[in-house]
Amino acid sequence: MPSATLKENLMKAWEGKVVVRLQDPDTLRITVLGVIGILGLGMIGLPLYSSIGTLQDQLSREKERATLIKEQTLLTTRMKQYKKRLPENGTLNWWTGYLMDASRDSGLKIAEFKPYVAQSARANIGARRGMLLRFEVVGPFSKVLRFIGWLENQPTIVHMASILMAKESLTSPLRTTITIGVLTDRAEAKKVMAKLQKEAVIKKREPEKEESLNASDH
Amino acid sequence: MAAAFTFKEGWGIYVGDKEVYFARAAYTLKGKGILETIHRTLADKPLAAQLAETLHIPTPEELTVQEAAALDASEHPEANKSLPKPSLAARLKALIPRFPLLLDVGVPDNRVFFSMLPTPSPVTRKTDLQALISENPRTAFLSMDHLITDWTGTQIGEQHFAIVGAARRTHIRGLLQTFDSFRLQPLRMEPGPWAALRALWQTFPPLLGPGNEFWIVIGEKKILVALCQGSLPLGWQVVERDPESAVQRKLESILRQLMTYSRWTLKAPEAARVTLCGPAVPEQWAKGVSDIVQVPARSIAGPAYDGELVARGLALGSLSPDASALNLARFVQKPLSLMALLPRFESLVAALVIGFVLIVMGDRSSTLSRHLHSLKRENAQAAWAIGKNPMELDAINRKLRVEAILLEEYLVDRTAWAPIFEELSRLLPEKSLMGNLEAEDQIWLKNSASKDLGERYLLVRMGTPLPPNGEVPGEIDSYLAALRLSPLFMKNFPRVQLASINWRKDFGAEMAYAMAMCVPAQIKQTGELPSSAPPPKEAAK
Repeated sequence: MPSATLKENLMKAWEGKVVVRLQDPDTLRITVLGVIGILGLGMIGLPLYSSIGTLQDQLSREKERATLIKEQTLLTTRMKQYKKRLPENGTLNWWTGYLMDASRDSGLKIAEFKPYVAQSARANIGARRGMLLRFEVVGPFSKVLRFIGWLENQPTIVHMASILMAKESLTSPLRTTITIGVLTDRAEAKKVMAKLQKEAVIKKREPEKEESLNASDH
Repeated sequence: MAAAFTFKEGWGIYVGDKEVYFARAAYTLKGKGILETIHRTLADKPLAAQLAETLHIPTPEELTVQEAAALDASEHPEANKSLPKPSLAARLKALIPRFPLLLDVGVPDNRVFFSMLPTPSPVTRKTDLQALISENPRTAFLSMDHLITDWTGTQIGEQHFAIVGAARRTHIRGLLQTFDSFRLQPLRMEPGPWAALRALWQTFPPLLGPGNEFWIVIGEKKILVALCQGSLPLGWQVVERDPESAVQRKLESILRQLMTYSRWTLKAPEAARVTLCGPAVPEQWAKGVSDIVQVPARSIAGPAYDGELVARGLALGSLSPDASALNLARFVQKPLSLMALLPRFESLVAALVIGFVLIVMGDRSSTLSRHLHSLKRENAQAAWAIGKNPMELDAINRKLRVEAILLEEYLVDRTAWAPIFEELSRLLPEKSLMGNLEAEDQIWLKNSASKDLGERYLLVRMGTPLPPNGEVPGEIDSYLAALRLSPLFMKNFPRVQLASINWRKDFGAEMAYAMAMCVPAQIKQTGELPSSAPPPKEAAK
């Protein structure tokens, strides 16, 4: 059988060359140690080494993820605490009502009220948008002081951006212009902005109309 | 001390007609050397008993039945199918060879034929030696069945030679059987004179380079005369020292024979040196030899030619199984078991070292794996983070960080004006009045209104009646000083300065109006959006 012949030839080659060569103890020693080295380090050590490398990579990635997750949890908790101090439904109407009630309680009268949508990029805070409300109150210093103190100490936080107190003369009443920063929904801010733009356009057209009417009268 | 550390040991056993010599050689820190030699007389005890006693091995009778069965089973599995299977432990034990593994056995010079035959081509193991022997009338007797031969090849000039050694088959088989009964397997069975020369060359190196050398090794009873080329013997003769009076004549005769053999048969170059070695070399021998060979003879005080010298050479040869030598048992002994030659100690050390490295690596791998697993489990609790890589998470965090800073700026970083106004009013001097007041804590402006004032400041205008002498009223300075010393102002607006001063007639009197400017310690300008806010401290930990 050809396979038997091949096997025999291989066996002969093994006995004739390999075995004879390996009968030299030094050659055998190098061969055996080489085989142990290849088997141990090559077949087990190398895959293990590569697996350790992969594990280290994965571990450092997971550690990084853990740090980021922790940080995010911390940030979210802090944000939640901050957001507790913001009104749930902080629309322009709500703020107007809030300020009207406060001034009425303080015995002050709001003379002028004007909202502005803040233009700074710092006014974009998540889903909210910063808005500046400017209003004028007329009343004595003590009442204004009480009103400001009340606004500052409410659980619903407002940011006192500007307070301007002036008297036209010593006998005239104290007029205080207050600008406060409040946070509203982005949609609400957009609505206010559109309304303000519309008003500005109307205001701009009114003098033109008057001029044209005057001209037609003549 | 150096001899205490042996790396590889081998035994040389020279079995003479009446005595047996043992020599133990090993590699030590000093190099290859003989550790001990033992001389035994066969008249006292037979060879088997001498072997068992000297090599400290069990006799064939002492081998357990099970071990023997295991050995038989491992060697002849087909023939022993009917026998009960030996245990695995017994099989493994049977694989462990009996000490010593490296064993060289010497055949006495009077039982060995040694010659060189010219061949047309280089001699290999495939060379048909029988044809070569039968064609040569001088060696035709070697083809007899009762002789056993071995050969190796060499070249002198252009001519190839087969170095042939022969011994009686019965003698070799008898020796082999003795060793086999102990489960011992000799590495080689060598002609004694070759081994003796090897032992000698360990101390007195042979002549290297062109030219042959005569070695005359003087023993108590015999003298070995060998013609060598470097460390390869080309031919030898042994002279009996009986009667002593005829020794010099015999020596000269053999020298002449070997010279003729060298010149005409081997066509080898002339001898370049003659060395006489022995415990006591007679001067007249050296002179006689020198006269015959026509080269100066050197005499060295060395070992005598005897069984001990042969055993030493055999032991040294056992340490180099691949050395060029004849093995008269080559064709009758089983091939040397690789298992028997396996470097167990080195293998064990290597396996232990590699095993230790693998254990350390495995431990590291399992520790990493455990940490990774626990970290993954911990991270999986944040369901929103599943499937998000660190880059995505970092992008989300960066956005959140900016949002937190802006929200903090709006909610936390603000000035409480009411107590400040109250303090302003409280500290105002009695005769003075407060005019305009401007308090700014600007937020969400693109730019600060004033670079000098920054985004947070307080401007107070106070009026005081001007004294008759027209000097600046002291109330202004005292008010500014009081503001500077106020703890509330020290905290919020520590820098209180006089910005301007002017005079005006009010209430029918001259009034001095001063503008006080109050700013924080560090003037903060309204900046742009923080693009890369640092992470919160807790998270950084």
